[in-house]
This record gives sequence, structure tokens and C-alpha cells, in this order.
Amino acid sequence: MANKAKITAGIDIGSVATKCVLVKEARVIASNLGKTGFDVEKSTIDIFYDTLKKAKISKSKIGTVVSTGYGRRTFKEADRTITEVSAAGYGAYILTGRKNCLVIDVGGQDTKIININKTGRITDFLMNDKCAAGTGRFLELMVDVLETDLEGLSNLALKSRKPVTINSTCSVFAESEAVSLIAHSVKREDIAAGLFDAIATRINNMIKQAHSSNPIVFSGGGAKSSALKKSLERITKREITILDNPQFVAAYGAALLDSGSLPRTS
Amino acid sequence: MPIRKDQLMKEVYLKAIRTNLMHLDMPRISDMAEEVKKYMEHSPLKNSHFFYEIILNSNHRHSKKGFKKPVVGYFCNLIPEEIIYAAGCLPVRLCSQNDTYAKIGEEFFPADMCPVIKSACGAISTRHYENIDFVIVPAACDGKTKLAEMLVPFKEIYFLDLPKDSDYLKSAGIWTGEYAKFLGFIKNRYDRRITRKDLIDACTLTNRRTNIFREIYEFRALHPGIINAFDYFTMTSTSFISDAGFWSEHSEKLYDEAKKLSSHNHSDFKGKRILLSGSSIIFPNYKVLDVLDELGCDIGGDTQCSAYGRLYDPVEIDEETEEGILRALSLKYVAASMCPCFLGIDKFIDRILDLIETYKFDGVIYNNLRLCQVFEIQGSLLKHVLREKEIPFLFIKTDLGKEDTGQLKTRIEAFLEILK
Repeated sequence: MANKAKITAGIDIGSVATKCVLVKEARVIASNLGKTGFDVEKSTIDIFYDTLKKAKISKSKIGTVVSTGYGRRTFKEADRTITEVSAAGYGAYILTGRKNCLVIDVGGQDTKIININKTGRITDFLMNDKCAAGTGRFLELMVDVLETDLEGLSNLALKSRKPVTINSTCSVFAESEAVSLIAHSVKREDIAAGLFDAIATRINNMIKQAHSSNPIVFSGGGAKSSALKKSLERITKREITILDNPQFVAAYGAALLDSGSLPRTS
Repeated sequence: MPIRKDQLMKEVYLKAIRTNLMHLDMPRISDMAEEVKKYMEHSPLKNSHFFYEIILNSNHRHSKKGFKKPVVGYFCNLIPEEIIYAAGCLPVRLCSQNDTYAKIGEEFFPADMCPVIKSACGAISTRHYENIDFVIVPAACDGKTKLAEMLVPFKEIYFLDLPKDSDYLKSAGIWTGEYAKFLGFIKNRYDRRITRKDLIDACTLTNRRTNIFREIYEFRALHPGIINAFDYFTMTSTSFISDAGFWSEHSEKLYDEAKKLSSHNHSDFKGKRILLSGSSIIFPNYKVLDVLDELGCDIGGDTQCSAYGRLYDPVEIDEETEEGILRALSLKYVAASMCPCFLGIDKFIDRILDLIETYKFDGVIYNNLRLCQVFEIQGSLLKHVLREKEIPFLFIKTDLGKEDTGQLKTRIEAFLEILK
């Protein structure tokens, strides 16, 4: 029994990807990631059981399952749900070694800025509303335009010496702007770098609204792009640390939220 | 001052509108009957039904039939209802938050406009308020000012001009003068003598409403979960279209029932108690209320100009002359107003801090209707003050449509999670 209670599962059901981690004594023992897809309920169950299989653990060994992300309520096996704001915030806090920080979390359809104080309490948060500009969705659209993948887009941008200025903050208009730049024979790497600058400018506006001088850490699927980190550092004029396995931060935070090591419980 | 009807403008407008109206499905309050009944069943109080029924019957109430008194429409919490009552008329506040009407409003007016203005335009242009003799529009925000002109083809309009400085010492003379002009206008309009006694009687009538409202406001703050937010905002919304005496009578009954209920069983309410501020909440725009209710949280208090801002301040007459009464009215409506259209942010912030101090709310949620700039600015200033005082604060920006309910829920849920 004592052993059983120690493993918790955190599952982050995002708009693009579903992430699952199994945590024992604050350490990740297995993790898994898959497409959320059209049938959220089914894909979540698949990803969850795949993770168990990977870790060679049966469901009965799991103490609690905590779900988070936009699809958090669709997962029936979850013992409790928590918003992605609390989950990403807490995950980042633990990963930084319990230090105050300002988290930038760039997900598939939303970008969050979360300010955390020394005790791990979220003092403020901001989310983009009603618009996909400044989120992963923006980059996904651009990946198609430049006929590459996210890593390719990032690598292209890192090569640029002269990023173009993308004037539109709207994802759809920026897409047509990129198409027209290609037609004008602008180098692909300069367009790619311009796109990262555009999204970083948008995120920087949100960072400024948080009025926080805490060190910045970067999580979510967007943090896998080193080009985005570079653009953000240049535009914010601040140092940014990418968290380990950035895409799993919220799932990790969700799993930890039930491990009893919390400074607060809801 | 009355606004002149321009014949050409009227013809052009009506022509454009008629073309569009042919293709429109008129919204009916009966479409919302199911929703109203859901709230009615949700209420633990029998006496709340009266208020929901006013809404269910409001289509009928706005038709020309069945009204003995002339009906006068107005916008904003800046028009003295007492003068309208004293003239033997029924004042009806037309501020509307109906998404269907807002969509109709968009057909004739720019889409990037405050949804309250669009909703009002939609309602009036589809003759929802057929029974209304004329409409008073105050110079609150720019949108309201232009609304006065936009409504000219449909209704007789009286424009009440107010200076932007809400400082009593500087502006009381101007307010009183504007109210006196309006009093003169309504006397002429209905060819009626309005005595001092008529005015004092009208003040007594609205003060009765204020008294019961204050009791209810305090009761809700101290006993969460008994008069729920739906009942409360339905009461305040129906005060827009109900006679003040009639409304007070039923509110008193509801209050008695709530008191009895709270003495029988100690409230087992365990959720968070929120102070709601920002743009007004008017039926059927209950999206934020729905989300808060689903998350087990109560709006213990508010500063909304459709509720607290409208009903909390009494008329206090020092001097029973006509001028003295008008001055007292301007004190109630303009000097005490927290409307962000006017200078006087300190007054608003002091009230917020005072309410938090008195009732120990867990946090403040500021609801900003998209495209209302003045409320957004006020909210951002409030945010800095509350941050300094370490009072949890959430700013939400939304409109009348329901498509962002999911995002709103995540924000509010995350906010509730971070409250200690």
C-alpha cells in the first residue's frame, strides 16, 4: 500500500498533444506523448495506458491520476483535475529548484505567462484570449508555408542574418504575408526568423503586462524551438532558461500537485 | 436638450433597415424561457420566481397594451428616475445585453462598437420598446453620445449633457441646471404641473427601493449562497423595467424569506466569495455568473452600474426647495457615480477597497465587456492598486456571445486555484 501511494500520474491534455508522466518521489519514471486528435477521450486513454505499459506498471499501482489541459474534464479515470495554469506553474517551480520565476508557456492554442513567488504561489497569470497569434498554432501554420517542420523552421531561422519584419500579428494575415515574401524571393531563413520575431514580440507584450523581474523560464511545446528562445531573449532583453523536457512541465506539475509536497492544496 | 429629427436621415436609415429586417429572425424572450426556468429552479427562494416571471412576460410588458402610465426610456445610471416618476410616468432603463439584438445592431452600426450600444440599437430598431414615448440619453461615453443621434429615426430623443468632471464642488451647479432643464422639458411634454411634493414623493419611492437593496446587499455579503447571483442580478435587471414600489414590495418579501432560511440552517457555503467589478451584468448576459456558479463560487458583492451602482445610493434632501431636490438628485446620480466615463478614479478605487475591507472578499474579478475602453482603462489602474495591496485580482475580457465560455472557465478556475 505504501508503495502504491507513491506513484502519481499527471496527464496534460492539450489542444495538439497529450502528455503523460508517471512520478515517484518527485522523479519521472515514465513519460509519453501523443497527438490529441479528434477523439480526445480515446486518444487520452491510449496515451495513458501506453505510458503504463512503457513503465511496466499496472493501473492498480497508481495512487492518483491528475488531469490538466483544455481536455482535462474528458478523462474519466482522473481522480482530480487542475487547470494548466496551476500545473505548468507548479511544475516549473519544482524544476527551477523551488525558486521564484516567471514562466512563459507556449502551447498549441494558448500562451500563458505565470508569475510565481518564492513560496511557489502563483501571484498573477495572463493568457492570450480569442486569438491564436503568439501560440504554437501560429508556428504550425508557418511550418506549412515554408514546407518544413518545427525543427526545420527553427534551424532555418537560426541561420538568418537579416530577419524580415512581419507586420501582421494575426496568424492568417501573417501566413499570406509570408507567402507574398516567398513570391518576392526573400530568403526562407529570413522569413523564418521574421516569423519567430513576430511571435516573440507578441509574447513580450504579455510579459510586460506581468510587471515581474523574476528570472524567466520557458516551457510548453513552443520551448522546443531554440530559435524562439533566441528571438525572445533578443526582444525581451532578458535571459531565458528552457526547462528540461519543456513539453511535459504541466503534466509533471499536475502529478506533483497530488504528492503531498504542496505548499497549498485546493 | 431635445435632438432635432432630420427627415432625410430618417428616410435613409429606415430604408436601409427595412431591407435588412426582411431577412431577420426576430429574437423572442420565449426563446430564453428554458434558460429562465433553469435559473428559477436553481433558486432556493420561492419569492425569486416573481422576478423571473417579469422577464418571461417582458415581451408583453413592452407592447403598447396594458400600460396606464406613459413610459419613458433612458440609458445609464445618470438620469434621475425621480423626475420621471414625479411627472406621472414610468421610467424604463433600456441598457441591454442581448447578443441576438447586438447582432441585429451590427447590421446598421459598426461592428467594432460596445456590445451594449449595439444591443440597444438592435432592440430599439426592431421595435422591441414600442410603448416608449421618448428616450433620454446622457453624455456618458462617446458611444452613448452617438447613440442619441443613431436613435433619432426611431424615437424622440432627449440628450442630457453632463461635464466630464464628477467633482461635486466644480460641477454641482451644471448638473442641477441640466436636471432643471429636463424637468422643464418633461413638464411641457406631458403638460403637467410637477410640485415639490410630487418630487419628494418620488424620492420616497426610490429610497424605499434603496433601503431594501442595501439590506439585501449586506445580507448577501454576510450569508453567501442563499440569495444566489442569478436571483440577485435578475432582481437588479428587472428593476430596469418595474415600478419602484412594486419592485420594493417583492424584494422585501424575498428578503424576509432569505432571512428565515438563513436562521433555520447555517449556510454550509464553502466556496470562494468574490467581489465582481467592471462592466454591468444584465439579463440574459449571465455567462460569467454561470461559470462562477459551476465552479462553486459566489459573487458576494459587486460594483456594477446595473446593480450596486444603480440601487445603493439614496436621495438625501437637505433643503426642500425645487433646486435643493435637484441638487440632492445630482448628488445621488452624478457625484456618487463610479462610471469610468468621468474623472474620479479615486472614488471608484476607494469604494472597492472599502468593500473588500468591510466584507473580506477572497478576491476581485473585473469583467470587461470587449470594446469598452473606459472600463478597460479603469480595470488596468485598479489592477496596479490591488497588486500593491496583495489583493488577488483577475481581469477578464469578454462579450455577449457564448463562444469563449471554455477559455473563460479555465481563467476563472485557475484564479480560484491560486486563492489561498
